[in-house]
Amino acid sequence: MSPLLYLLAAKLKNMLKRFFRSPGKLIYALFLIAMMALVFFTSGKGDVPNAGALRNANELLAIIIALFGVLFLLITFSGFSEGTSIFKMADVNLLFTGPIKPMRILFYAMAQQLGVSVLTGLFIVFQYNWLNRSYGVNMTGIIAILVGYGLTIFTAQVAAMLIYILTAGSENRRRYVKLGLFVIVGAYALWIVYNLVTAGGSPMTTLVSLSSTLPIKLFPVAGWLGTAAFGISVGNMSAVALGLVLWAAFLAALLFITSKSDQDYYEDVLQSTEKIHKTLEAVKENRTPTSTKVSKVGKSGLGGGWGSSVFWYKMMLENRRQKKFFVGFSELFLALFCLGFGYFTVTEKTGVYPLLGFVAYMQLFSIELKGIGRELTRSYIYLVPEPPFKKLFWGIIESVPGFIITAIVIYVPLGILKNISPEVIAIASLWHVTMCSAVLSVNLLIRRFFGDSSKVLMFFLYVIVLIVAMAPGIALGILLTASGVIGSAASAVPLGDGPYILAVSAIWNLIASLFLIFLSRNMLNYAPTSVR
Amino acid sequence: MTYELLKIENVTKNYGKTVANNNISFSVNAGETAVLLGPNGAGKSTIIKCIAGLLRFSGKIEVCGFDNKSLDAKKRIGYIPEMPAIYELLTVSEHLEFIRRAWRMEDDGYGAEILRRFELDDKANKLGSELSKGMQQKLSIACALVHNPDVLIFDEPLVGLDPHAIKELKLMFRELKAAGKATLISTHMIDSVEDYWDVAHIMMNGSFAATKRADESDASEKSLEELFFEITEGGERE
Repeated sequence: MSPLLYLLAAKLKNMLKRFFRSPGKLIYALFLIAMMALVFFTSGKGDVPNAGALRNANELLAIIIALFGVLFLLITFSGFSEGTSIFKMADVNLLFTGPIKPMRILFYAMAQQLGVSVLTGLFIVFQYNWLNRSYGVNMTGIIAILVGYGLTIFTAQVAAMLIYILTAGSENRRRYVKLGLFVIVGAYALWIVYNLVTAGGSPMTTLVSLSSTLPIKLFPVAGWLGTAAFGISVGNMSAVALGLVLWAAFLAALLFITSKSDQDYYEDVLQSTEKIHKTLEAVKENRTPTSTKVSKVGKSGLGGGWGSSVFWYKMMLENRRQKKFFVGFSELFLALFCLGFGYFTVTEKTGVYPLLGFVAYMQLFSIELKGIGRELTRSYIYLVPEPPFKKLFWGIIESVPGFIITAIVIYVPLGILKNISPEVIAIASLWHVTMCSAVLSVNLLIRRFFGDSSKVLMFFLYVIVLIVAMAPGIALGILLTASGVIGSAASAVPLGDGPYILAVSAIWNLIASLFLIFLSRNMLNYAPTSVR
Repeated sequence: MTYELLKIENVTKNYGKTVANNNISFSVNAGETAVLLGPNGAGKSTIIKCIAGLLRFSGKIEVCGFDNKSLDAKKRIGYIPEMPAIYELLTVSEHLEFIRRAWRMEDDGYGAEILRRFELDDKANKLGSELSKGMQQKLSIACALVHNPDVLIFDEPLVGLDPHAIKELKLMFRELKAAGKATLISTHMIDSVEDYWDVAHIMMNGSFAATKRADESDASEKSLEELFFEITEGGERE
């Protein structure tokens, strides 16, 4: 057996063995499988929507192409900076220095990456319910979207690596290739803007109708794979064949150019692989990854803070020097994704509730302590002679501007597009901010009592504590509204009237957040051993 | 007659406008142990990575007469990186099996011996993810040694090792020397190499600031440590 095949086989075998030896991981996997089965079962057995009740199928095509397109462009363009890496440090240390041809090593890494790419898209499976009800997507269609998602990421990574290999050594080449790509993307952007301006009517309707035009279907990778995945969903096999042929030809061309270019790509991937490795190691050891970027000092001085509030000013200063303006790219991307979801699901009948449920659900995939998490890895928050509740409070406040920005990104455009009253938008935004604060506080509480013992345990506890913390607010809101104490039973759902349930729930979330911080305060009595 | 197993000629490595290695030339003969000394950022790891074939450079590097990027050269090199990174999903013994397969070698029992000497034999069925940092470093060394290379390059090899492993590795350095291997060790800890080096190159700002041979020292000459601090700190030392 070739050494690379041996390596893949041994890793796969041990992964499965480790899986069965670890009850936590096994339970987590079974939980995920059960959830998936539940999603399929409940959606499949329920009342199947008739064709007339379904939404415009082109919306689905637009969603798929937009998702694939954003991913493809983001990953591909990373090839101009530090590149992306499909290698691990062990590959660098043991394969790159060994007597194995570089192209074989490249193919090994690509084969491995393909599996990882598909796994990262598992969240798509959980969208089955609403995709089935809104667009009639069946199980085969969901799997097609999942595979398309994986192939998009995979192709983008190969493209990014090739860009890096071709341009890393020459600033001129880098400029020309970048310009070429910008011209292509810019031409598409101008064409879309031109259509939006000339078509009149709803911009979203125009965008949806554009997605089924030939130019969009021919957009590299995202258009091809999006059309193919959509074709499987709606049974258009000629679209599937065309999309797959174009994609396969493009991938073959990428591989051909890679094989004909300078095969000495080791140096090009070394830097990004080392960076990723250091980041992962830091995360494993509960450390803040060391940034290789040089930060500009700019204006010096904290500018304020006294006692425990100094943490907030210090974190603001750090964020400014790291050029982090309250929200990270992933949070912004998630917010835009939620906005898209809201556009297609919020109706007069349902109100904003499907979107709020979705926003809360998506928080499950971004469990982290943000700024306060970084602070807890350093000794100062334990040493400063201030009440622990106040120190934690100021640490958590750092994240609130980010919550407000994501709320604005989601609800304000949605309000304009869907003609929702400003009062409802304001209350939904308030609920969003308080819900995110509650999520952060729950994280803090779990860290307080369980440390970093098990991510799987954390996940389960997180869900349970979050439900316990937030449910009373929702129940109270329903009770007060239904009994007519506030608003009226009839005004609880529609878009135009005040969603009193949300207002009560938001106030409750705020109280629960403060209470959870209070419960967590003793975590500052003793610093964990990992603190630097 | 000496035989140059590792030969570096006029190697320059730039990262953009930063010169990491500036026109470096040296060689390591069969049965010789060379050390690269220098403060952090002197360019030691860069030249080591160039030799291991991980970086592009201008100049020439030959391993046993072969260009260092060729498969023939790679068959003859053992590289121990500064940052031990092993496969989390391979057991200790599978790492060695993988290396043997990659180097197309039958199991001659040497791997098991190395594991025993590094007290890893009872961890043979442990996954890489279950090993401590120190054990990972020992496994990394074992992987570099198991295919019995002619040239060994170590980048800060003693960092993270326990006293027993340090003692064992120092013993191995002597055995490698006796077996006629060429060994190059990069380190910033002079104490760790003081008793087994043949030639020492002191690096500063990407260049060799001094080269000292162990066999040419006399009473009037400065010790390696004195020379090192004279170069790196202008002679100032507490």
